Amino acid sequence: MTLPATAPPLPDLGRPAVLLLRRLWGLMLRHVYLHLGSWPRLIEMLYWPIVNMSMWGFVSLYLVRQFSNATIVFDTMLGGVLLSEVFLRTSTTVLMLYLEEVWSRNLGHLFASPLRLIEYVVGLLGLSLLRAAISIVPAVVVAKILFGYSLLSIGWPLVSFVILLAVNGCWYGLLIVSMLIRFGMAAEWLAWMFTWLLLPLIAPYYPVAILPEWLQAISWALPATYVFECMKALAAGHPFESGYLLKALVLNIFYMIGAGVIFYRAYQDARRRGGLLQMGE
Amino acid sequence: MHESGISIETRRLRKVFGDLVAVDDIDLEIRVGSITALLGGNGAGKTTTMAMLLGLLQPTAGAITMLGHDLLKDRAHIAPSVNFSSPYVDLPNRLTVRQNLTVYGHFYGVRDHATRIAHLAEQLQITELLDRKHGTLSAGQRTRATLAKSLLNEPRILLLDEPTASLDPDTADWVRRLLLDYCRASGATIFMASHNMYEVERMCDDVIVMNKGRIVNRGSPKQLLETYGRENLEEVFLDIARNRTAAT
Repeated sequence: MTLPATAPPLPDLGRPAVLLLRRLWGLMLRHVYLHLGSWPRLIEMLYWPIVNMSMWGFVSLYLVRQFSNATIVFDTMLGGVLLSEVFLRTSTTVLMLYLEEVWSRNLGHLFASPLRLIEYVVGLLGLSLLRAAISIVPAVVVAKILFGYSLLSIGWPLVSFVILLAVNGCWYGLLIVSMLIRFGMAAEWLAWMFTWLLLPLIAPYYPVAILPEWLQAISWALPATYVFECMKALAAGHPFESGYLLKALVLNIFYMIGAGVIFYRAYQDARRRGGLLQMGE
Repeated sequence: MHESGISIETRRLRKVFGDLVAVDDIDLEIRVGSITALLGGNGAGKTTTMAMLLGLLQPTAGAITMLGHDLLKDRAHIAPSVNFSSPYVDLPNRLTVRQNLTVYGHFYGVRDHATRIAHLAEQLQITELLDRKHGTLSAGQRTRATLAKSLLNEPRILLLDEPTASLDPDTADWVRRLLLDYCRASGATIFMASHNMYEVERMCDDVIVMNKGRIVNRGSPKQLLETYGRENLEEVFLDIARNRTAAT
């Protein structure tokens, strides 16, 4: 066979911004197809927020009926449950979407494609936010139907609460995924355990002051704690503490940058060890 | 540089896992439009070399140039023009073949991907499988679906690890013909690892023989047969695997 003397120049595929959007759209389609083709995944998506909310809702209802002055408890509990679901669903979804690639042995195809690491992370977090939002809305509706509790009663601070908790869930999920990339699937059980690890520390249903002093120090280092303290203060009729939300924002930025760096280092380490092809170990 | 007719070039490429030297300072020059086979027994370093060329594995040392770009610094420019197929990775099982190809069509920036998918499906005889989930396909059907993904972006460099594994002889034969036709029509470079000696003899103009991470021989299939004094590449392969030296 006569070989060509030179290769043709690299093709012009189009504008970089369009190609970037197409890659992100491809990542989105991959998970939309997956969920639409799998009813157990769709049910799971809605199941946990509704179950958690129902259980804590009935506990709260019981407390209100036993103690006539416990309406604050009711609002705090249900608000705490629904808002903690924002944090939990986001972090769990980041983990789950990553695991979908591992379970299907698709990481090699994914990372050998033109999809860049930063695009993968942005897509992963964006999808997690979307999936979390979809999974929480039915629980909010059920809370209104079963208990007459409306999350919207929190008022405009609700928007900032949701955003700050979702960002907290994102960086925490990214840290858990980094651990999996670094230690491999042997750490999968730990990963699932870690999704719930922060929940008692961020004090969604009770004051931080209840915690032992040394745990309080850890609790105040977490952005979500400030959000829940703010929410509980509002439920008790106290004024809105904007300073709390500012602290949560600053901490979120700090942790998001840290989680990004740790994720990048874990990925590079996996490239060195052959972890992306499950070889070298 | 690819202007000089070199599609893939490595210089002192090395990969070490702990105490194991998987790839030991290899220098490669793969010509544009050629079909080159990487031959060697298990643990010879073929898959490790492939993974480094794909950017999935960081070399311990050395340089890789593909299509005139430094892979380690400029993968973003190269990736849209490269594709691969390997039994070590899979496509999502819960997605249909069409869905998988659509997703990867977006990743690779394929224009009019629906038409391209239909065309490839016809060529690879998977049209009737397009709406079946990847996980429900037989091993041979999966291989063809993965090959469709690897040809989706009309790659300038196609890296193939055991491209006809799991295919029956008839299907394997026309897949080889399809790859040969693709290579001739597009001027693409195919770099493949294979244990199928018939396949290597039939398809490749150049064979690189690896053993324990090093390149121990290189030449056309005919040259290798002469070097080892053998009738076919199967016997050459056995000589290499059992550390028997070349006849000359």
